[in-house]
Amino acid sequence: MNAKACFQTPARIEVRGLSVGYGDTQALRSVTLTVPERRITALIGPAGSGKSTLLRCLNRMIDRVDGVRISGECRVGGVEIRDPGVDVGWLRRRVGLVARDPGLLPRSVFDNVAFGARLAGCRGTELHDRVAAALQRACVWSEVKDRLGDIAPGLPEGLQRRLGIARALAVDPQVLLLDEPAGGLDPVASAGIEELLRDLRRDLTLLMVTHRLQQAARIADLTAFLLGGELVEVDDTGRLFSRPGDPRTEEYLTGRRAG
Amino acid sequence: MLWVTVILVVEASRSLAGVPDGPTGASMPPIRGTVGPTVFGGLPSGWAVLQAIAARAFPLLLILVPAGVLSGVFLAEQASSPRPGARWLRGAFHGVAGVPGLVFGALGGVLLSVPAVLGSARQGVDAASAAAGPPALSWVPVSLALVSLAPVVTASEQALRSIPRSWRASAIALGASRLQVLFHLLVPNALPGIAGGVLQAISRASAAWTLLLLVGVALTIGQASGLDGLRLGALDPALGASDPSTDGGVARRALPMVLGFLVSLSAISGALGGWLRSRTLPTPPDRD
Repeated sequence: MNAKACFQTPARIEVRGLSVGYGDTQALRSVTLTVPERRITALIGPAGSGKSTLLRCLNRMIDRVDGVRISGECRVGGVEIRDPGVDVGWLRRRVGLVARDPGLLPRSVFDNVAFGARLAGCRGTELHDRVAAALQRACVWSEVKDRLGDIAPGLPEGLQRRLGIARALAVDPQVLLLDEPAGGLDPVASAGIEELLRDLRRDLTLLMVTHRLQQAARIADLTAFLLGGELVEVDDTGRLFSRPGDPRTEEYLTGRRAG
Repeated sequence: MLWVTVILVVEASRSLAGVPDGPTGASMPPIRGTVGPTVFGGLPSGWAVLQAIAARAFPLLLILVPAGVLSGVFLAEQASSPRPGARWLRGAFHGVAGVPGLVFGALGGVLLSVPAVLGSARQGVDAASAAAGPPALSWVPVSLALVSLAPVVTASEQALRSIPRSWRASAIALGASRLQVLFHLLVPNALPGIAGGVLQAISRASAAWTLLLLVGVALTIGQASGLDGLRLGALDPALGASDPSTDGGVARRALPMVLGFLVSLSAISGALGGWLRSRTLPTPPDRD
C-alpha cells in the first residue's frame, strides 16, 4: 500500500486493541477507538489514564521511550503506522502533535513557524508563503504580522500556544493531536484556542486531550473517557455528558471519581 | 582591556626581539637570556613568535574542537542511558576537566619538556642548535591538546544537555530526523556553551604553556652550568623571576606575552559569547 497516497485527505484514525506498557506500568489496555475526520474528538480522564500515551502512539513519538511495549493496530488514513515501510519523519509531518508546552525556540516568530517546513526542505518564497498561510490558518496573522522578528518565547502564553499550532500547520498535516491545548490559560486566551480549533475542524482530524470537561463539552463532537489505561466509553459529546452509559463515566463527570 | 593587551604584546615582542633576525643554526649567536628560540624553535622576531602561536594554535583547534564536540555529543545523546562504559567515560572526562592547568603544566614540564631539553643539555648542545630545530618545545602545546580536550567535552555535553527537552520533542514531532535535531537545533543552540569550552581549553593550555615556557627558560640558561638550572624555583613565576641563577629578567620578559595572550583570549571569549548569544536569543524590541 502506498502510504503517502492514503494521506491526501483528512484522515480517519482507527485504533484496534492497542496496548502500551513501560516497565511494570501498563499505560493502555486494549484500546479500540475510531476518530472521524473533520471532527473534534476529546479524550478525557484522570491523570495517568493514558490519554497522552494514546496521542503519542498516533505519531510514533512513543518510539522514543526506552523499553516501551506496544501491541495492536493503529491506522491513520488506512495506513498501519507501525508498518516498517512507513517513513516516521513523513508520518510526523502528516500527524502533527502539539504538546502543552509548545517548546518554542528562542528565535523569532518567523523562524519558529518556519522550523518544520525548513526541515522538510521548503525554502525562499515558498517558505514565506507557507509561514504566512500557517499563521493565517492559526488566526494569529493579524497579531504577529508586524512582529515576525520578535522572539517567540517572549510573547503572551496564549499567543505562544497558537504559534505552536501554527508551526504544526506549516508542515501541512492532515491530523492534529493536541495535548491540553488550552491548559493553564486564562478564559480569554482559552476561548481563542477553542475558536481556532473550531475553524481547523473544517479540514483536519482533531484529537485533543483536555482536563477541562466544560471545554470538551463546548467544542468536541465526540468524547472518549479513559480510566486506568482502559477506554471506558466513547460517544457523542452531548450524549456522553448528559446520559453516560457507564457508571464510572458518570462518577468522573460528577466529580465522585478522582481517578 | 584591548589597549592593555596591545601594550603587553608590543612590550613582550620588544623583549623577545633580542633574538636576532637573519641566519639560524650554527651561524646564529647564542641565545642566552632569550625566550623565543627555546619555546618556538628559533624564530627571527617577537612578531614571528605571535605568528607561531597562531600557527600552532590552529592545528590544536583542528584536533580539539571536532574531537571535543563529537565526544560531547556522544555523551549527551548516545550515552545518556546508564551504561557502565558511558558512566566511566563521563566520569573520566569530568575528572580530567577538574584538574587545574597548573598540574598539567608541571606534568608536561616534567614528562615532555624536561627530557627534551635535558637530553640536549647532557649532549652539550648549546642553545643555538636548539633554536635551529629539535629539541625546541614547540611540539609541547600540541600534546596539550590532549589534556585540553576534557573542558571542551564537558562544556559541549553540558551545553547540549541544558537544551530543554520540549525543544527537542517539538522538533521531533515536526518530523525532524536525529541528524536534523542535532545540526538544526542542538548544536546551534549549544554553540555559546561549546565556544566557551573551546576558549576555556585554549586558556588552560596557555596557562600550562606558561609554566613550560618558564621551565624552558630555566633549562636553557641552566645549560651553562650543567643541570643547575633545573630547579623547582623555575616552576614558580615569582621564584623564577627572583632566582639569580635563572636570570629572572628573562622570565619577567616572557610573562607579559603570555599574559597578553590570556587577556586577549578573555576579551575574545566575552565578545564571541555575547555575539553568539545575540544570534540565538536576540533582545525583543521594546514595545512600550
